[in-house]
This record gives sequence, C-alpha cells and structure tokens, in this order.
Amino acid sequence: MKVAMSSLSRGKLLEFYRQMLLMRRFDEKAGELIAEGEPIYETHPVMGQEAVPVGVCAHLEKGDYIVPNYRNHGHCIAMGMDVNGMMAELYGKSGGVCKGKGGPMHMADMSRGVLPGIGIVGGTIPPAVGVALAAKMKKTDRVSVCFFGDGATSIGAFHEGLNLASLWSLPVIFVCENNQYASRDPLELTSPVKDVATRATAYAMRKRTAGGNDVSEVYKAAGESIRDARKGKGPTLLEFKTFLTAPHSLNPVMYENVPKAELEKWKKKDPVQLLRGRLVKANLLTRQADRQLIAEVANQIEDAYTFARESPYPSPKEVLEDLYA
Amino acid sequence: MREISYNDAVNEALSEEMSRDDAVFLMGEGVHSPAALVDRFGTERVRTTPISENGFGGTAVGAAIVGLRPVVEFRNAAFLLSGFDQIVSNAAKLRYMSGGQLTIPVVFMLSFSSGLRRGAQHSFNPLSWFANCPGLKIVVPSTPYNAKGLLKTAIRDNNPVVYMRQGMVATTRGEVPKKDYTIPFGSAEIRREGVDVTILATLNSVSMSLAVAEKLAKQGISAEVVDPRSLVPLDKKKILSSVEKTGRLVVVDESYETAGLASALAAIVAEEGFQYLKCPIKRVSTLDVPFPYSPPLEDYMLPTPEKITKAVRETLNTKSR
Repeated sequence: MKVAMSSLSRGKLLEFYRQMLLMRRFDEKAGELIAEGEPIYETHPVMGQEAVPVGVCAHLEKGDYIVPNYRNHGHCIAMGMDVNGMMAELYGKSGGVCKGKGGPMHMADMSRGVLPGIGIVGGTIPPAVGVALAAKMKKTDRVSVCFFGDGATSIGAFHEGLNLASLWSLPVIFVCENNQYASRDPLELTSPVKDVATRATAYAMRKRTAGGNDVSEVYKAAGESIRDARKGKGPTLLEFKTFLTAPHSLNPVMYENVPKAELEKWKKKDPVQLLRGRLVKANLLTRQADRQLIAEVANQIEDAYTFARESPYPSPKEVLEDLYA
Repeated sequence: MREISYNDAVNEALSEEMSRDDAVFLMGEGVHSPAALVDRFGTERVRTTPISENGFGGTAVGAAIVGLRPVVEFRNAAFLLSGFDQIVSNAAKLRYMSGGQLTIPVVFMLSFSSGLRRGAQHSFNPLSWFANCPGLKIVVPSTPYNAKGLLKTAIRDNNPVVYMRQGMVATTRGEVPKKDYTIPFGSAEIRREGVDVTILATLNSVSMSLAVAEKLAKQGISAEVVDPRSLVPLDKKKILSSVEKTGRLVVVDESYETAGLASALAAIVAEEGFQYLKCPIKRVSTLDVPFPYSPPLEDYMLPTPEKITKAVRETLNTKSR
C-alpha cells in the first residue's frame, strides 16, 4: 500500500467508503431500472472509477467549484448532492436537481459548487479555466476542479484551456480520469503518449500521475495539487489511472467494447472492494458494520427511486422557462 | 452634439462600464491596442489572449458563471468558428439545462466583414446562425449612437449577448452623447417615417436603406425605415404597427437568402400581420455563395441600393389586394 491509511482518520475513510457505496448503488439501480424498461434514456456509469471523485472532492470547500463532464454522478455525490433529486433528474421529473431540464448528463447544483455536467468532450476545460480566472481576479484562494477523461486530451479545447491556465497561473486542477478508453477506442489508438499528464510539459505546467483506484492515493495526490493552487502556485494536470468496469453508457442499445481479460484484471482492483478489504483488515470496519452500511445505502437509493417515481413530470409549458435570466 | 467614430463609441462604453463595475473586464486577441484602456485599467482587466477562440470564449463563460462580467472581443467572427462550441453548447445552454440555477453575463463582441474585399474565409455574416441559438441575445448596432447605448445595456444584461460589430458600420462616425445612456433591448427605432412602404433593415443595410428612402422621397415615394436594433429580443410590436400603417414590407438583411434573417422576419409579419399587407413581402439578402474577392462579384452578391430600390418599386407596382 503506497499511502499509509493511518494518515486518514477512521471517520474520513468510512465517509469515503459510504460515498463510494452510494455511487455504486446509484449506478446499479439506474442500470436495473433501464433494463426493466423504465423511462430513463441514458446514463454514464462511474463504476470502477469511484475513488477519483471521492478523493478529489474531499479537499473542496465552500466557494470552490467543480466542472464535471457527462460521467458526472460520482462528482455530484462526492459534492454532497441530493440523490433523490439526482434520481428524479434521471426520469426528467419536476423533483430533479435541474427540474428535469438537464437529465442524466447535465446535473448541476450551484449551491454546492457543481456546475452542470458538460456533454461535449473537452467542453469542461475552458469554463473551468474561467472559474479559476474569476477566483484569481477576485483575489480569493478558491479553486476550480475540472473533470474529463483521457478522450478529452486530444481535442483543441484541452490544449487551449491548459495553455491559458498556465499562462495566467490560475488556480485550476485538471483532473484526467484516465480510464484508458475514449468511448470504445483504446488510448493507444488515439494518443501518442501513454501518460496523458505528459501533455502538461508543453504548457510548462505541473503534472502528476497517480493510481486512481486507491482512494488514499487519490486523496494524497489531489491534496497536494489543490494546496498548490490555493497558494497561488498555478494549475496542475493530475492524471489518475483507472478503469470503467461498466459500459460507456447504459441505454437500451448498450454495447460491450472492452476485452474481457482486461476487464477482469481491473475488476480485481475494484476501488470499493479495495477500500473495504483494507478497512476490514485494519479493524476499522467489522463485517457486521459493513453489512449495515451497505443496507443503509441500498435503502437510501430505494428511497430516491420512490421519490423519483412519485415526483410529477414538469408541466409541458415549463419548456419555455429558465432560458433567460 | 459631438461626432465620434463607431470604434470610439465602443471604447467609451467599455471604459464607462469598467469604471462603473469592477466585475467588467475585456479579453481577446489584440485588446492591448489601442493602449487607452490598458493604461486606465491595467492588463488584469484588459486581457490579451492567445489565438484560441474556444479557450478564451469558454473561459469567459466560466468566469461569468461565478460572478464576473466579461466582454470578449473576437477580432473576426470567422475565427470564432473553432470556438463556436463554447457559445452554442455552453453559453447558450448551461443556464437552461441547470433549470435556471445560474446566470452567464457575458458579451461576445463579434467583428465581421462583408463588402471589404477580404475573401471567402475572412468575410461572412454569421447573424442567422446565432439567431438559431436560443439562450443568446443578439444586438445589431447600426450607428455609433446605438453602438454605445446597446453595448452598455449588453454589459449590464445577465444573459450571454452576441454583439454584432459589422466592419462597414465600424468605419462610420456619428453623434454620440458624452453622458451615460443605455438603449433597452427589444426597442426598434423608426429611423425615418413614411407611409407607402416599410423597409426593415439591419446593420449597414440601415444607412443604405435611408439613402434609398431619401432618393425615393424625391420621386414621391414615402418609405419608412425601421431598425430593430436587437434581434433577440425582437420588437415585433413596432415592426407590425409600421406594416399596419404602410401595408408593404421590404426586409433588407445581409445574412444569406436561404434560412436567413430576412426570411425569419418576413415569416413573422406574414403570420401575425397578413391582414395589413397589400402585396407580397420582398426580401433583399445575400446571394447563396461564399464571398468572392473580386469587387464586382462581391458587390453583386450583397444587398445594394439598386436591389432595395427595385424591391420597393415592386411592392408599389403590385396591385393592391
């Protein structure tokens, strides 16, 4: 184990574990509902990648913002968003976090510092730079965290955004959740560099590559980058190696694209199992407490499902609302 | 009243708004020149960017969401195409898809050329593209006076505003008050009163239409010239009441003929003011080809005084219904 778990309190580790269980159960439930033919039209699961949003967002404070991409449910839960509102948003209901206007990809909660998930690959990067520019111009120590996958590192927005952030030394952390596939295309077919953090060199930017399945490792790496940004030391390109153990998106026409052996290899490094094993081994979690926590999380998601089902659809005329301020 | 250039009117509006509100700042390629704004506000607030329209366009969106009021200058709207995504997918949509949780007070100031012999890739009028993008407001200043007043309103508005800075208009001079004034969006201006025909014109087509109306007046034709000043929101009421008075409409706009702005304006009047019309509506738009370099070719494709005159005469020669 690279990072001593003792550097994190038991309470913090259990909270991380709870959040990861919640993300996992949220995704599982969404998948079950879609398979049952419920009117949820698509979600992008975060299964296998839960440690990254948990370990990164744990460092954020009031006034900090994240700009998530469309694989955003982990980011939302890590920022403390209400799972009832999230589940209702999957259905496009009035009780959804965006009143049904956003849907699975675009959930937002500005009161918690969560900008809408952005569905265009790389589209998160320039706005995150702008959020950081505002923090700097207002002379605060607030930071902006941008999430994207390895697929975003070849698009112009990525390079333009990193260039500006470094040029102006802005407090932004570019978090690449490198799950090694851009939709169905493996990284080696789309990128000349294996460690995407290498790209930072071209922009004279600090870079860091770390494992993305061990939440302690994520927490440590993110902590250093976020502290640097708060101290005015500028941006970091922070790459976490991880793997999506579910399809790119869950929808009625799902496809499988990942070689089975590779998938099985990564499933053995599942972030939830990894943390559970360590907590149990270190006597921080009893088997009984674990079962109880899993049951609590399952109940919370069932409640969210009930809330979503019972929430009414918006009235059609609401389509014209919320466009202009 | 003093006369100043269009560009001075724009800079005066920027300077006044930046003094009034610390959240306002300017960014874009080459904004350090002329130096007056930099001298007054410093390079933090007059921020020169690398050539990266997607990068700085999107940066402005992010900064606006968390409380700043950026004015982004695109030196040539044709270069903006690589940054189009940030305006269309983010500026125009983020508020809506969040269910109204945020505001994006940003001004995209788009310089664009037509009729200036700049060839196909540096000339075009992107107006109708933005008009097809709900979530944006669009202003079309046709004079230095409107340029200052509309820019100040745009900066104070809490929505993304596309400010169309047309090359032909930007070379003009006109009367501009020194005082602080704003022009509300959605208030069309009757630039010339008339009773026989309404000419609804945008941007440089306004001055062209005024010159045509002046000539026609000598021949006993009384044309009313209406400048909408903002397209989103649109002052339908003033447009319809002008058509109610004259019974005839010629729409002059420099976007392309097919699915262009003149079509959209004509459709509104056809749907909501058909009862006022004595004859079919005429459109004067830009012909559907890329911009050629050669002067006679470019002139042939754009709205001209001759084309406007011909359209007006056709409406008058059509037998009244």
